[in-house]
Amino acid sequence: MIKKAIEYAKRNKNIVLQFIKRETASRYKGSYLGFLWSVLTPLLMLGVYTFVFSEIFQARWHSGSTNKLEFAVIIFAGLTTYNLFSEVVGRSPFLILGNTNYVKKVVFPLEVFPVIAIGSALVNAVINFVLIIIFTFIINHTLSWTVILLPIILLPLLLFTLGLSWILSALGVFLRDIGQVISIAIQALMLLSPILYSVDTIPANFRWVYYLNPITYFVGDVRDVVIWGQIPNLYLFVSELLVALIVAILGLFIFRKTKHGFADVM
Amino acid sequence: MSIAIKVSDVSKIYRIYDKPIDRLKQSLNKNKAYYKDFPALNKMSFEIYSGEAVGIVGRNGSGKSTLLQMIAGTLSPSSGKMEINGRIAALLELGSGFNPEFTGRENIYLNGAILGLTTEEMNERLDEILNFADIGDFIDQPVKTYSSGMYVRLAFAVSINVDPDILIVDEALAVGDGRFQLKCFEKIKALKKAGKTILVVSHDLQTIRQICDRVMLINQGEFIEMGNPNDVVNHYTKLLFSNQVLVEETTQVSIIEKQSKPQFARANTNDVVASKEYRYGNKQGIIEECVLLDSNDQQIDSLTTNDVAKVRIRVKALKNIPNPIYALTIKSVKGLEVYGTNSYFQNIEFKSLEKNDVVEIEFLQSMRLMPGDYFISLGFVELVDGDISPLDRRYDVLEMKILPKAGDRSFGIANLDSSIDIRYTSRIEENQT
Repeated sequence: MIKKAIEYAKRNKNIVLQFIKRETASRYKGSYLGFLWSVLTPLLMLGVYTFVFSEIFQARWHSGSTNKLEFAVIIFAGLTTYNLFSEVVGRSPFLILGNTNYVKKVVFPLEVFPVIAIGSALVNAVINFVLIIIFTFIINHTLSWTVILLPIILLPLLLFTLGLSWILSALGVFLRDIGQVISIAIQALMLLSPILYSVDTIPANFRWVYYLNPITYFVGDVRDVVIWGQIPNLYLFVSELLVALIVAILGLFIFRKTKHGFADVM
Repeated sequence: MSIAIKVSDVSKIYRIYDKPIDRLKQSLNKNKAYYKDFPALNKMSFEIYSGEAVGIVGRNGSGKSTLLQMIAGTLSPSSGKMEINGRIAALLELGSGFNPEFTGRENIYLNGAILGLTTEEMNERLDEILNFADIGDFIDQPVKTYSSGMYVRLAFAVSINVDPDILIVDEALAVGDGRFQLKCFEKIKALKKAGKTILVVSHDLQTIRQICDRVMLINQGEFIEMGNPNDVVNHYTKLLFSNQVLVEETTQVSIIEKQSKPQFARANTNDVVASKEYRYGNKQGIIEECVLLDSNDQQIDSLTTNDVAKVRIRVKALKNIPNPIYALTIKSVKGLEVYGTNSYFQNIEFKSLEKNDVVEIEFLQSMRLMPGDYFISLGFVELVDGDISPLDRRYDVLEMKILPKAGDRSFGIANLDSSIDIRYTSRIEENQT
């Protein structure tokens, strides 16, 4: 079965790459600043978050530290990681729905759409990660070797998102309401994850909620590796990877089971 | 002959839900039916052999597109089996498979990838595709800027040039201009020669009759028949206009004594086909007799090109007919309608008929047709509330063989009787110096 999957991936590699190229090119096509917005948008939001949290809420990442730039980068890292997840998941319920042609008129490997969405989001994310690395260097005056591990660290997040995307895009065809639910869930999840604040600042009796949230781990790993130069706990990382893999396989399974019914409903 | 497509007992039943929430209820509670069944296709079975061109005709809503979508693989049957042997390229709708944001060039590669070709294979075919499509510089513009004609040219160019084993065309060609349609049919004929299988859905019956080896008729999701293009198209025409119960007859026509019944050789096969009349109508008026005569009122079945001939029919009204129409159509043996007329088209005033009236009608014309075999069809219909109601339609009831003028090897359908005048310009110049 793995051989089949690899064959499938090889055959459709071109389609995926073409789509990602197109989506990235058209993201800011026609706008004056073009793809500069990929960088500008998160930076602007970051500025707002930093201001609100550090000046208005007077929050600190760890009690005692007052470095605002460091605070900003920590949040930026969290946001970028989360955006990678939320952009794809947010689009998922509409991924298949928005491509009626590919469902009804052509024989198309529909499974690739979540892959394309992730690819597209990754391009954006990579630009931002480069920025993060640059800022970290500016703050700490050194760069930890662990930065190289970033691609590996992102693997559980990507697999998890992929699986979720498959599930949601399939469900979205039959239950249009899912789009609305996910939209709310994503906003809620952002605040319920340690993105704008650290896990330490959460009262102890609520902390268990955060440890159930996969985002906590994904974001934590990225920060560890890029900003603090630490290797995440191997045991923990492997379990993340396993869970993500299960979600991915489950997602693909659900998608393939339901995909024959798409054309009937669309 | 190997089988390209085999359809066995295939049905497609759509579930129609009143509200979207019912769909969810259905998936949770399998015991109750929250839906109504809409049977789009009912137990279709047939075989299509490789190298055949098969046409599919049927009224709007008969299930043709559903069937094609299932063969193309974009729709799953509710039950039954489909066996497809070979790669399919399907033109199921204008620009299907095209992403509007991509440029024409990108869409070519995208469609190639969808059809299972690698980038290298597409590179080989790119020039051919670009030539066929004839889009010019627009090939690098997003496809959403294209006109519908450009769309279909590009779509067809890609489908046809990726070397499919089975080509499916679903009414998409109607949008192209005459020149493009010609190109397409030439290419389809070339594919046929190369042994590829073609499936065509069209409402253009002329085209269907000319390029298809067999034609399938579908009505209301049921497979009605599949066979000789002329016969099936006739049957389809009958279905198109029927809103009452019709009496169908297929009779061998006996024409007033003559030595031998002419046998027709079909233009593109070696089969010899005896003329077979196809007749239908509500029979509240009938064509009792019909005959082909020469200028001396002698019955004939062959004449020389350009000769004057008469087609005489005798009809009887079996009820009062306020607006009767008398019609004549002449078809080539390949099914091309070379001429058709009737008393309505020629603005002849209606004269109502009473029950049991008998009328004789004569169509007088010079048969300006090129040598060949032709069928004459006659019709006795009436105009009721703006609609044509067939009383007695007798298709292909008379055969007519047109013979050439001695020594003239001109060809074609219409005899334009060209005279050729050759002038030698160099001689004229000589005379002037």
